[in-house]
Amino acid sequence: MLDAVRFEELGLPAAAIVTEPFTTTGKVMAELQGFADYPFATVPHPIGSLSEDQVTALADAVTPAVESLLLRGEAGPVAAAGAEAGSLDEVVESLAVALRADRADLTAEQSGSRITFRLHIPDEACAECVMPSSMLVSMFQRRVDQELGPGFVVVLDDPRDRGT
Amino acid sequence: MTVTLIDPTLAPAGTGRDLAARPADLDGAVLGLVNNGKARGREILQRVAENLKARHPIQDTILVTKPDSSFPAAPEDVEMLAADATAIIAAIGD
Repeated sequence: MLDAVRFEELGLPAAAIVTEPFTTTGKVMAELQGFADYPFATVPHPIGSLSEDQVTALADAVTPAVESLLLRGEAGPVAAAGAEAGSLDEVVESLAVALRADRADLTAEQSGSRITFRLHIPDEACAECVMPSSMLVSMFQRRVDQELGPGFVVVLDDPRDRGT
Repeated sequence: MTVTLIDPTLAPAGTGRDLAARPADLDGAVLGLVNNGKARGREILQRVAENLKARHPIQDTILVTKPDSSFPAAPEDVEMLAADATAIIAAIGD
């Protein structure tokens, strides 16, 4: 992702291909470089274990999105599935995907304009693999602002902050 | 005594940066393929490039592979691609 935005800065149209669990992290990385809502193409995860034929099929499937990114700066139909959030449940689900890669999970409760995200890190999960609370809450706030609109206050309940 | 506070938190480098201008087509394009070395990245990049070549009169492709996916592309590779390529495809964020 950083390489793609670097080349955008240099004036070259770029298309980044990322796996679906990396979507949230990728968006934040681009935002931190000043590219809000940076478009990119997504592919399903995992890919390391795919056969050659499956890799070919995956590349074929993502090609229209790459073409669209290079010519129009829009991800097109492949990545559009990740941008359909509009409810809190959808926001939570989109954020939880990346956490589940480390066997953590996420739920949320809304009370008025306050949204409390609860991070669940079972014993078998890799607690240290999950982003620090400060980064998560910043990421969650951005996503809520983008998908649900401004005016919501995001709070994160992180078991690591309780020393457990 | 002077106490210096250092803020370790991340902050956006800027806001509202624009995408690079997009070409009307890929005729004569030179595609820079930035492989970050993660599994299947090179294969996906090369197949996507083949597909695009079948649809557009692309002049050439240049593949660079990063030695470490955790770090940005090498400055010499960035410089070379900025000079010789007309569009970039990077894979795979994972």
